[in-house]
Amino acid sequence: MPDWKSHIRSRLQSLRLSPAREAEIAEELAQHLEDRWHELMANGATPADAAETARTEFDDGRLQSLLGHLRQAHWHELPPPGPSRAFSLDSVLIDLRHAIRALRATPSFTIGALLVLALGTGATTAIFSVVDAVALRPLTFPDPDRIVAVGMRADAVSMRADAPAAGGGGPQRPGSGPRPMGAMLGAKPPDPYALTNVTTQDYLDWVDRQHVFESMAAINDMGDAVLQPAAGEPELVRGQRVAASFFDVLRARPMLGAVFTPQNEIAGSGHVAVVSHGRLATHEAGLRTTP
Amino acid sequence: MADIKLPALDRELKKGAAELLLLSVLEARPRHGYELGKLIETQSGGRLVFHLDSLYPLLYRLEERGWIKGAWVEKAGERRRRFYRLTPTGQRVLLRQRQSWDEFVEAVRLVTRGEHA
Repeated sequence: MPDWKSHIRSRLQSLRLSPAREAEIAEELAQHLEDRWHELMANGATPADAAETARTEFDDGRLQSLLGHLRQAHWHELPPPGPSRAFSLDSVLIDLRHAIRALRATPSFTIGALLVLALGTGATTAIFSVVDAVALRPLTFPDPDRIVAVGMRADAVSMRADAPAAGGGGPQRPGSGPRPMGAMLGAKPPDPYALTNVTTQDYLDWVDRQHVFESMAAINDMGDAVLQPAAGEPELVRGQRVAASFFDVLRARPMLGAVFTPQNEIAGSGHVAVVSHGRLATHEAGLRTTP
Repeated sequence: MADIKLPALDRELKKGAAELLLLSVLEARPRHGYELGKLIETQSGGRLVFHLDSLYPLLYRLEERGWIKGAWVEKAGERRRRFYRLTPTGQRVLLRQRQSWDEFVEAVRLVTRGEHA
């Protein structure tokens, strides 16, 4: 029997088929020629004549031409694994084009990926903005890392049965008494390690006896207050009551006027306020500044 | 409108007809390449003959399109053979091509026999 497979393989060599695919096609076409050879002999041809007829019944050039148009005839052997190639702009452009084609081929995936990226970037930016403002960005005062908040722990306050008052980071308001802690039924118990307000006497004792800080100042939220400019409508403002040494602690000075003095702490000496630049600009005509 | 070149039309007709023929004979059951060629030759009364150089490239092209699927089948005492079967996509294509071909043949028949009707 003629060696059909070798005959076919010699015709396939010019095509860029993978070795496995070339072997498969050679086997299949050789079977076809063998079937035809048997058929011709069954019809009375001699083996040699049948082989010659089977061989001449197809056009080698036409077979190669038609097979050459197939995708499988453009096989590229992958390069063997080795050291990574040097960086080149061409490879970057090829990768970029490939990525763009892949993204355009799957628009739904692309839109989904872009949405996830946009939402993730937005959420990360928002979270970082908060963290930056609260924790990372330093206070706008000289030596901000040396400014600390001092208070008493809630468990320490509750153990002091003789504490006259438990509210107020500075001088207590007249008439304010001890604040009951955790008295409400079902209320969440206070965090024992949280800082709570200190009494006026405690604050004054700390100021007299401490040797750690350059200066100390008490601060207490005074809640809403009515600001009555000399000219204009009264306005609800929110402020803080502070000790006279407050601006010494911050090492800050107002743009206009003067800061508090110990004289301002004496009861009945009149109320003195330091206002922000923004509020001063709003009421420039009505607010009187102290020289 | 661009002129239709007759050699190109003839080539496209033959190409379309060849695809339709192969899909049609694969509709009933899977067959191997030699059987496909002989079946078409027999059923056409010897008028249509597929030689190796056109049959297999066309089979491989239909396989690349996903219209047919080839698989090697081994039977006891026989050499293994590659059988082709119609895929679901190929079945839809066959229905479409068959309808188009019928309409085309009918249109040609109306024109060519119009004078004698």
